Amino acid sequence: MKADFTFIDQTLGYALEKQSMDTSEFLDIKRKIAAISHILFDLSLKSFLTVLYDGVADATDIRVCIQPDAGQVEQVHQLGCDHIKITITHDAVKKMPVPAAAALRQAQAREMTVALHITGGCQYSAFELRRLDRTVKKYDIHSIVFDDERGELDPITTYQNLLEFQQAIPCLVEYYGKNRLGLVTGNALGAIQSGVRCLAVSVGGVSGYPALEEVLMGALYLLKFPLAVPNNLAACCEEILHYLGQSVHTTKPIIGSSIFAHESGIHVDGVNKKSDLYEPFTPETVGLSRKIIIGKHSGKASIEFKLKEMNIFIHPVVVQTVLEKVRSLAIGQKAPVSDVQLLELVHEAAS
Amino acid sequence: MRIAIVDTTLRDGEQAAGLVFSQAEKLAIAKALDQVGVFAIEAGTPAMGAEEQTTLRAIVEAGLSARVIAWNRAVRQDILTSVHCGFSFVHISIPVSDLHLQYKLKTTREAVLQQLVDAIAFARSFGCRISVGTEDTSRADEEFFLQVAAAAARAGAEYIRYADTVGCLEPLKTYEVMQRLVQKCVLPLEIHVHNDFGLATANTIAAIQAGVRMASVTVGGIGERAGNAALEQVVEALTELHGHETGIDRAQLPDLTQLVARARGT
Repeated sequence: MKADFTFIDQTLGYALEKQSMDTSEFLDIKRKIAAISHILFDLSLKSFLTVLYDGVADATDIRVCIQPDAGQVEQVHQLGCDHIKITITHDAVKKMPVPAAAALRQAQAREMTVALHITGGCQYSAFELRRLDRTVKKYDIHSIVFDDERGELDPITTYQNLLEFQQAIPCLVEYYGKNRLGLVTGNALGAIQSGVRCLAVSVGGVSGYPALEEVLMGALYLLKFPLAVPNNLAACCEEILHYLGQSVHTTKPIIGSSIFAHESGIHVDGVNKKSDLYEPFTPETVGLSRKIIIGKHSGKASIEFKLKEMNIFIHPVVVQTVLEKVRSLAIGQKAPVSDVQLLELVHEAAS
Repeated sequence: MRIAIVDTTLRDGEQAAGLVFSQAEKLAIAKALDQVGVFAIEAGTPAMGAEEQTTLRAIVEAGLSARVIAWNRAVRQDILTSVHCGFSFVHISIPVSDLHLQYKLKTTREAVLQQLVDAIAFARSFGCRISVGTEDTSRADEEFFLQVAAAAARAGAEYIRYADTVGCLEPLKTYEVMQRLVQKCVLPLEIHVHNDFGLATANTIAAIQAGVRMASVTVGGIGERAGNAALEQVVEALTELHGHETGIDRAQLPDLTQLVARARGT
């Protein structure tokens, strides 16, 4: 399977829209996102103008998102960027409005790389698909954005619809979905399985896009695409989100600090015997570490493991007593038991 | 189509590392789950000790409309403890992947199957109704899973849980596997998935699309590691995208999620 993915980042654009950012911050966040995978950055014209004004001249990995307006097409071209995304409504598929047609002609004349983003629904009639086929050929459109911003699809229908859509459209197809019902990472993987290789994503799933880290790891581990994953992925995502004033939830898939925390007796016993019994990939893959938590759900193996870590060895009979005390304390304080507390309980049980 | 929602907030949800619900919180959550209309409440693991047993007894005695289920290993003492707590519905779980059998239990397929059949018979001797859980099913041999289901059915189990224990399914594969199992499995299937790749809700929906009629969920998707399928997301997706009936009063979901969030201290 070819792994020629382009992840179309929406994080940077979101950040620029939401907050002021100086040049060094912009460059740092952009560099960090670009280090994760092969990334193209979608920026609005307003954001693009802002960063240009700040002296950021390199636009090779930026795509400027514009309205169907020939003036905007020319403006972006003059500013040195030849990669644009023009947004039209679904209604325009049947009959291209004059301004949109003029914008597409202008882009074609300037030999720009054009993505056509059709908003307002992802269901297409046979007639609409024929019109779209004609539009793509007529204006040399590079890609069409399949838009499920309203979260109307599940992964199975995303896959099926995109299979049909790609058969009907004579150019690249991009997937652009949002997470209204918690399905968007699944939808993104469904899109990939249908043959799509360009997907709108955001770090941490910011603003409802598929989370870059989830799609990347899903494509690698579940769909078996040979993709590279940076071994500091979790820290990298955390730093990027920090710029946006957001923190990573501790149980956020792939990058949360507690996703390798184990408390239940069965799980701790399991990961100590063989980590993949209860871990789908190693913590080191994304730069996290395993934690053993002592608490209400601990078992004897957890206590033994933790005490071994502390170089403390007690009789197996005492372990059971310690475990009972641990559970009781955890329930009483409604929180896990700290190392200090565990030591106190060991002393109590042993004396 | 009616989909049965099996909530495991109080069992698998509370197994999120560091999380502890007080007795009062567990009882309040159980009542709220019942009020919202879940088919079943997996209330906890009686074998965990005296405090948990006291809590679970209170839930059993609360007179809820939903089934109140105790989670058990296929171990006589676990089941006996559940019976002593007053449970009439017991869930009996065994690992089914060779990975788990070899490295965790150091046992064989034949031995674990016999252990399950014996445990079901023991639970049945107390008049309990039984569901069976198969751990790490998504990495297990499909034929062995079907063999387990057949043996469990003969022993008197009512339905079987298919667990994606480390969240390594994706929706298309879930759909394909479940379509096959719905045809072949002698027991009704319950899907139980984890969210390690952010796919728990998507995989649950895919399983339902393939014909599974029972979904295991937790409020807010809480659970071990990256959690489980979120009750509220699953219900919304099933209702809005597919028009399924879940018996859940969606208007009450915000209160339920707030109650659980407060109990988690978030």
